[in-house]
Amino acid sequence: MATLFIPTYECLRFKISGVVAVGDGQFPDWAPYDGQLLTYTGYLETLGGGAGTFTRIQLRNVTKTPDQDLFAVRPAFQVDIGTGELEGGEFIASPTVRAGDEVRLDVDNVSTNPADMTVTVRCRFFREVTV
Amino acid sequence: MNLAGFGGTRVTIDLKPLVVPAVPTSLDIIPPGFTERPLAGGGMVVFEEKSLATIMLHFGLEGVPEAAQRIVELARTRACGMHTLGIDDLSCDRHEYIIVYISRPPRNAQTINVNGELVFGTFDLACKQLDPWPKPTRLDFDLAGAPNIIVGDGQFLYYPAAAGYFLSVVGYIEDSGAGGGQTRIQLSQEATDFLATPGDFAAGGVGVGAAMTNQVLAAVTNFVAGKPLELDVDTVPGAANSNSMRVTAWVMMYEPYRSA
Repeated sequence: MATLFIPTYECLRFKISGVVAVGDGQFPDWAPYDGQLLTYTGYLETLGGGAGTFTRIQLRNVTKTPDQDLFAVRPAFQVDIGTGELEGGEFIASPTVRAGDEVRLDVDNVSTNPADMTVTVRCRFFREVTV
Repeated sequence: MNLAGFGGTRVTIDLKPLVVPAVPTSLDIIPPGFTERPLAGGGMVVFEEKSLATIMLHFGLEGVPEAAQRIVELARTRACGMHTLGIDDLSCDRHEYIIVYISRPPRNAQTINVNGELVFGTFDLACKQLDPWPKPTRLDFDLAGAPNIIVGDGQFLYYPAAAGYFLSVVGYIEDSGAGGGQTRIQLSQEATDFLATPGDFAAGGVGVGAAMTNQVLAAVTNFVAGKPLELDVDTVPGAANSNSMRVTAWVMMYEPYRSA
């Protein structure tokens, strides 16, 4: 008997409806399989105001003890750039999750009155089967 | 991934191990690209770029003549087409098999340097990953509530392109509402319910989020293509003021041409 790991590409998705405020653990998602975080995108529908300000996020694996931040460099929605797209982040060296791990979206900084955020992380999951 | 440090790792093509010196020195995984665009009303659409994930195998070391032997081995045995790329970790009996398309093995990696000497370089072999079916697929059932969630069937519909079955269901509500009780949901297709025990978002107060609890999948969760999967709301909290729910179903989706 052997264990096979069949890779598949899918996403973890996070959102905040309405006003975005600073705070930890604002939206969770759960990894269906062991996997690796590959890329991220995000969109802030209402970017908010304040020249030079930004809305910065972190993703945190709260199943691990202690919690594990998944961004080494936290990405942000920059007001001055004006696109509403999330950028500037870098994952940690081994951004991996285990099946069932809970990942939460933290908001560490906000611009003035941002609202309606989505964050999507493209992952490579490994479906485990036994033959 | 540098394979040099993985003494128990073996790379195979079509289940045949690549033998020394025809083993890659490292490999990189290049994911497929995608872009997202917002929709009016707060939705989002994801556009897959017309590309596949690539497993890039790196062979050879600069100036090391064994590279030529590796190329001969590859060119002779690995014609272009579909192959099974295997990455075996023999130390713990873990095996990963990926269906890939190998376009064209390189013919050589020899060049003449400025001194007129024949030198050997490195080369890459691009293996384009073809996702196997059936495939685990994520379905998000988002229900904002306008302004609050109400009881009723079929409040979010997802039309599956292929038949499949449920693997798991999770969920989170951003505002669980007040007044006791819970927002209780069911997933269904026509008369078939997929949760033997419905999922509950317990009312914890206005603006307080809650993860879904109690949900238990039915023994049989097969669904057919073309007919909508429905998010039903069976109960709401006493104050009827919960909103902003996401229910995520992970399903195994068969390839479309085998759909019922």
